[in-house]
Amino acid sequence: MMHIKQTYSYFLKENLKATGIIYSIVVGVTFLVFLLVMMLGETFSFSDIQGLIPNYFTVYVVSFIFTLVTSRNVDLICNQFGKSRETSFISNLLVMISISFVVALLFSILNSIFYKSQYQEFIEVSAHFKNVNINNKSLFIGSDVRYASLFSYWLYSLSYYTFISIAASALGIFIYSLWVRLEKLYRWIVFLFIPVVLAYAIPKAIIENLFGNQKVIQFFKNCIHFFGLENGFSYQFIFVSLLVIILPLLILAFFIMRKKPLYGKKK
Amino acid sequence: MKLQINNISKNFKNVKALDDLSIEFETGKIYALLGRNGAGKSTLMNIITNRLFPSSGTICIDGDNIYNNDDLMSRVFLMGDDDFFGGISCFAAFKMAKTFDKNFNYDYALELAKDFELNLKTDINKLSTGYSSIFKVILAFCSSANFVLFDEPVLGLDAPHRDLFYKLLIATFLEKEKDVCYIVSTHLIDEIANLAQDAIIINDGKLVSTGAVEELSKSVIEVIGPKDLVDKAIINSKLLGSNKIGKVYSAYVSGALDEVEGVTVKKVDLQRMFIEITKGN
Repeated sequence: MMHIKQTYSYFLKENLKATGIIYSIVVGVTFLVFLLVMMLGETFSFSDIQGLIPNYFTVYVVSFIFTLVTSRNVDLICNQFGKSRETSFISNLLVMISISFVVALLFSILNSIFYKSQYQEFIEVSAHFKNVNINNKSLFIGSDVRYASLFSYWLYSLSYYTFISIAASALGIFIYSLWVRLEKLYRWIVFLFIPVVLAYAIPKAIIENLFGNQKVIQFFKNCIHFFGLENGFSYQFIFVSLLVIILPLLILAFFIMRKKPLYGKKK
Repeated sequence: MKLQINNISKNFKNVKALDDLSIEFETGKIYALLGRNGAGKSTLMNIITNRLFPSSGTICIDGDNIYNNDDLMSRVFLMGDDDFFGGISCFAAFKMAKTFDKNFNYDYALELAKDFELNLKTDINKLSTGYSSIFKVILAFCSSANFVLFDEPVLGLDAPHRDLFYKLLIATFLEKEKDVCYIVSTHLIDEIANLAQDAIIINDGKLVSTGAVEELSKSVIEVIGPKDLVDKAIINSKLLGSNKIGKVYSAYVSGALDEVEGVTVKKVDLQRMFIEITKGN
């Protein structure tokens, strides 16, 4: 336990710094694009600032690549300083979950503030839970419903960012473990998993671009329906997804990583 | 404290890198781990430190298996030829070492860096081969591990730096003699022969010879003279190798010699002994 705590605290600090730098670059680049477009004469409203908040897709891709890279780093350094594979794996997992949560917390708050158009959707949900007649437009002005919808959107956003980030990291760890385990000859197999990574991103991007964000929400509602979880909203969906997708990936990765060879860069 | 290698075998597809190897290392000693290229030295060191896993056999410290045991694994440190740190500076790596190993001698590391003229601000992956070895050697000397494994520690080092390395090896060993065991894998046998108490020779993944350096040297002798007389003298010995320069014939043998007049018997050094017992393979 002491070893896990030691490793976890070190890598949490280091990886938080790295995450901060990566997202600063992501936001910075987006900001520069904004500036450039503004210089070309385009004007933006306040709500356009939402473009500066990394969306789910960005978080998914960043988390996936970040985990692929850091898993190796954690593993090598843990080994160099006499930590077992299990300690390395568990520490890496805990760091990944913690960072996912921190990222989710930050972006969900920003999202809730700036994504006005999206949380309006949740006014319907909040109103529904409060047994309010949603056809009565005047009720939307009521501050309690607005805060409730803001809060429910924040929770939705938080849980979804967390889920996306953990799912991407789990896939990152899994692919990393396969990559190292399979060594040179079989590494190409890993590339077969890239479509899995994109399997989420591409349909979402298509749906979002073709039909807009409302359809995306509908898409996830359909997913909830698919799992038969209409009454429980997205938390059960996340829970089931955790059990069905993420957990088996992590368990498999754990067993692969326990026996995989470790090679550093040859000098 | 003892590091026990128990019946370790390692197969890489069709290649048997290690074949039922059993060795015991104990603290308070410097070992020379010798073997030709591809003999299995690095594989053994990687298995000891859990970088590779054996096909069979166990690695124990005082009878307890070190596999997935953090407390035991932290007693072993490998200075290998791989770079495990990526793009951080030497200074950051020393700080990292202090984080993971509470007893890492940080001040001594800075002192050694100065002695070796290592620029602490340089990124590890930008170091030359020689300075990369120096950086890893410093980490190893300052580690609090009981079993410190050096895999080609003087690779790329110039003569003054090699000299400094050997001096430090002795100095740090004497400082913590009872608590530390240095295992040095090298091809520079002459250089390590003067420092190591024991030598372990492996060839084709098998243990060929082990024991005190002086005893091992004595186990092989050179018999010089006319070929017919030498052959007569070594009839009951095991012929390991021979040379012929003009009319002078010399044979390297192990085992008892028959008394024959007209032949000269000479002791050989560890390097010659190593060459003779491994070249046949």
